[in-house]
This record gives sequence, C-alpha cells and structure tokens, in this order.
Amino acid sequence: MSKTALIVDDSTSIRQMVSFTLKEAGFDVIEGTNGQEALSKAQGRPVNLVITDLNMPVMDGMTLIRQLRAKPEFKFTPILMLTTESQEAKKQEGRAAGATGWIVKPFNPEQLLQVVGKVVR
Amino acid sequence: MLEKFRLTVDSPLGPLPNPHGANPSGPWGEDAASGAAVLSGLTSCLAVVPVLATQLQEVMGEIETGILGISGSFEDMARRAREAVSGVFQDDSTTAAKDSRTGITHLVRETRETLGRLLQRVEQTSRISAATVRRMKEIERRMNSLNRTLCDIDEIAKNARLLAINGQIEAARAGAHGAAFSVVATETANMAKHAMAASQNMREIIGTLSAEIAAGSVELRDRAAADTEDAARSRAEVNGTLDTMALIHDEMQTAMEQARENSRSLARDIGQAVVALQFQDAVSQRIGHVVQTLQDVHGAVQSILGGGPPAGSPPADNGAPARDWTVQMADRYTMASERQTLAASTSRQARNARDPRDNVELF
Repeated sequence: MSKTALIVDDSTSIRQMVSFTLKEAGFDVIEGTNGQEALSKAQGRPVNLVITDLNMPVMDGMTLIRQLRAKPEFKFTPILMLTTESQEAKKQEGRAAGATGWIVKPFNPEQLLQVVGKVVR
Repeated sequence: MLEKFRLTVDSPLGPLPNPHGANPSGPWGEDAASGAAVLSGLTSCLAVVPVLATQLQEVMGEIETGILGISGSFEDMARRAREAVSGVFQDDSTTAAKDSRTGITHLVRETRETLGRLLQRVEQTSRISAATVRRMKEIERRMNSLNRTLCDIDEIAKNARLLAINGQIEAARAGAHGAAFSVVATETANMAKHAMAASQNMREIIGTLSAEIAAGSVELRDRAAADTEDAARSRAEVNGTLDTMALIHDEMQTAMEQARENSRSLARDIGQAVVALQFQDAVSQRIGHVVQTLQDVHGAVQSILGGGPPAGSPPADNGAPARDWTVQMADRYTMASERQTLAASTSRQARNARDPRDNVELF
C-alpha cells in the first residue's frame, strides 16, 4: 500500500515539483496552498509525511506544525520544512515546534528522496 | 532637482532628502515655485510606482505559468521514459527478469547440446547403415558361392542321369537278370532329374534374393549418405541460427544497459532541471518583497507630499527613518541572499554564497 504525503506551499510550481518527485517515488500526494487548507485536507486521512513551506498566507508553516503536533495522529509523523529561509533562529524555532528536518530551497529531487527515505519508515 | 528625488525614491534605503540641502525651514524650502515644480514632478513619478508593481506581479505570474508548463513537460518526459524503460525491462531487477536473461543463455546452450545429441544419433545410424551394407555385401558374396555349389550339384545330377541311362542300357542287355538293375537305374535317373529341378529352383530364389539385397544395399547406402549430408547441413544451419540468436541476445543486453543508463541520465537531468526551475519561486518571493517595499515607499511619499506623517513605514526610531526602512525590509525578507544584498548595500559587506550541500538538516 502506497504512503501518503501532504505537500503545503503557496507556490504552485514548488508544489508541482515536490509532488512530481514524490509520486515518482510511489507516494500518493495531497496538496495544500497554506496551513489552514492543509489541516482541512489532512482531516481524517492517514498521512505518512508532511512537507511544508514556512512563509505562506492565511497560516504559516510554523503554526501548521504546532497544530499538527497537537493532534495524536500526527504526533510521530515526519514533518519536513522546505523553505528559502536558512536563518539558524528560524530553524531552531521549527525544531521547537516539532519539525523533523529543515530543507532550504532549491531542493534536489534525489536529495529530497534520500531525506524522505531516512524519515519515513 | 527632480533627478535627485528620482534617485532617492528608487533607493528607499535612506530618508527623503530636502531638495534644498540642509535648509530645514520647510518641507520644500523657501522657493514656492520651485517647491511646486518638485511636487508636480514627484507626483508624476509616484503615479508609475503602482504600475511598476503591477507589472512586476504580472511578469511573475507569467513566469510561473511558463515554469508550470516546463515542469509539467518534464513530468510527462519522465513518465514516458519510465514507461518506455519499464516496457523493455519489466523491472529488470526482478527475479523473473534475471531468470529471463539467464534463460536465453541457457536456451542457446541447451539447443546446442540437443542438436549435438541429435547429430550423434544420425551419425550413429549412418554407421549402422554402413555396417548393414557391408553385411549385405557378405550375404551377396555367400549367395554367389552358393550358386557355384548349385552348379556343382547340377553337374553331379547330369552325371547321375548319364549313369542311369547307361545302367538301363546294360540292364536291357542282361534281360531277365537285369530287371532289378533296371529299376535302380530308372530311380537314379528320376533322382537326378529332381535334383536338377531343385537346383534350378534354388538358383532362381538366390537370384531374386541377391537382386533384392543389392537394391536394398544401394538404397541403404544412399540414404545413409543423404542423412549424413542433411545432418551436416542442419548442424551448420542451426549453429548459424544459434550464433545469430546469441548475437541478437548480446545486442539486446547492450541496448537494455544503454537504455538503463539513459534512464538514469534522464533522471539526473530532470533533477538538475527541477533545481534550476525553482529560481522562479525564489525570484517570485524577492520581487514580491520589492513590490511590497515599493508600495510602502509609494504610500510614505504620498503621505509626505500630503503633509502627513510617513505611511507604510514603522514609527521613526530616534529620528532615523533610514534605519526604519532597513529594518522593515529585513523583517520581510525570507532568504539569506536578500539579507546579504541588503547588508552589502548598507555596510558594503561582501556577499557569501551558500553551499548547496548544506541545505538539509535533520533534527
């Protein structure tokens, strides 16, 4: 049975590229354009991986991570932050919020899949 | 004078300068006419700022549309390449695929062995045929010998018959005393006659058998020769076919390996293209930040021209609005490259390129 990934980014092109990369690796993909929409789409569905941007309208990635971690079903789900932001303070904030890892854009598909392979069992 | 304003509006890192230099007596100095001209020019310049912002946003939209199209094309290319490769390999790493590859090699070897065994049997049959022909020749020779023996028997029978005739003549001369001898002579003549008839029959049978054996021997020899010739030709043909099959198999293996390498190469190229195409997201964010700052600058200048406090920027910090703009821009930035550009512009710091290998950190 294939695993499901939730991709959250306000950039259509980034969503498309991440989605393409994960689908090639056999994932089913759900997409959200911001944190709020992602929470809504993830409701009641088993999700094995979350990849989210940081800066998004309506609800940013940091808030999304906190809200997901508050849900029992997302307590141990790998959540990767995929963002242009590379400030150490932001990374630490993400770590404190419950992010599993931090990837700075632009991402390399092969590298992304290696990271996903490490965090998704 | 207007040129000075253009310069400062285009670079909102510093305060709007007083066009009259250090004269602080009024917003635009003492020269009312000059001030009106400045206002007019500045208002005219300001009008294009929202247009420029809209233009930038539309350009970014167009670039994003283009990138989505290109990215979609890459996706299609990758899918088609994957389908093409999987069509050839059926997942080449599977046990079935490996079995298939070794199976072809095995099949060629097995066919050669089977053909070898078949040809051995043909050659064995040929040898047996040759031996049979030799035996038939021997039988023919013995029959000829038998014929000669029959000739001897014929000669004996002729002599016996002649002897019988002489015996009958002598018996007739003897009269009544020779009657019994006459019976013996007559019986001897009959026996000689029967012996000659039997010899003749045997000679005919032997002649027929000899002819049949000779014909069979020739036929068997010809068949054996034809079989040997056919077997040799078949061996050459099948060996040629197997060599071609092995060659095609090797070429297919090479083509499959090439296709596999092409697939890997395509995946690498698409990966690099995906990295390159993400410039659009970074550019979109940077231009978005520029547009927001332009809009803030526009609002601030409009407020100043209207005589009110600067809008769109934070409250003045110790009378240093230049720092407010810098801080506001820095707060808005999301990329190290943006911050480096700002820092380099304000403090002439050198820009540091980020090592792309350091872009992943697992907590």
